[in-house]
Amino acid sequence: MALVYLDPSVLVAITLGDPRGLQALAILGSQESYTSELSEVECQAGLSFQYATAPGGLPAAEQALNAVLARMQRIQVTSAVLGQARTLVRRHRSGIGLRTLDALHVASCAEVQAELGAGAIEYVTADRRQHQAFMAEGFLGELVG
Amino acid sequence: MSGYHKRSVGIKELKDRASEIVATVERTGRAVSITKNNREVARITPIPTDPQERLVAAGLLRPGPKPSLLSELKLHPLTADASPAIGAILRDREQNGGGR
Repeated sequence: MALVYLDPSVLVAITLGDPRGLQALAILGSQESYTSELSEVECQAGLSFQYATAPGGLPAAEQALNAVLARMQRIQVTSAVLGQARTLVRRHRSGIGLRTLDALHVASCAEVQAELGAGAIEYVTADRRQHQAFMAEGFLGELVG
Repeated sequence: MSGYHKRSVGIKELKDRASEIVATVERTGRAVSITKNNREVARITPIPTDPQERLVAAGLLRPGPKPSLLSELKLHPLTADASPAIGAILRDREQNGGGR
């Protein structure tokens, strides 16, 4: 059974109750969910923007995000992950225009795969460009939405 | 007592009995140290079978109990449309080392 890496784009959808989040949860099923430590900050940025004009709703959303993150394994940004991300940028920057944050997410999965073997982790994202980046590295996964 | 029951072995013994030593590490789950001139210089350690334990050993996860499944979390929907939040995350990515 593969582990499932959830990108912040689907984590905020799960947190808020968006259909893309429900789609991601259906794909996840009873598998273990993983994300990067970085996701906490990206999710906060998303929620802060979502509630910028109605800040009264932010605490409940943050509480829901904390509950979501508490049920996830969070991959640390180790020197190996950073080194892998640099390699990915070198490999894909000029081709698919790999973005810095995507490199870090894909590198996190690449390090898990290096430890557990090919096919050990799959991804779910709502970000088309990140989906391209994962595919360029041969990962299996789903683009929701 | 045969050598592979020891917690440490010298280089010569390692060369002579590598298969037995590795099999013992795998079976018992206990590490064996390699010594050179009576000084510990390396270690043969078992690789955990549980993915979480392996990732902790590799430094990719912090040690701790396995979290409950995300799919079992009951949340009250806060909005039917998270597009502003998702859009903000995607824009950040474009701006932080991502513009084509």
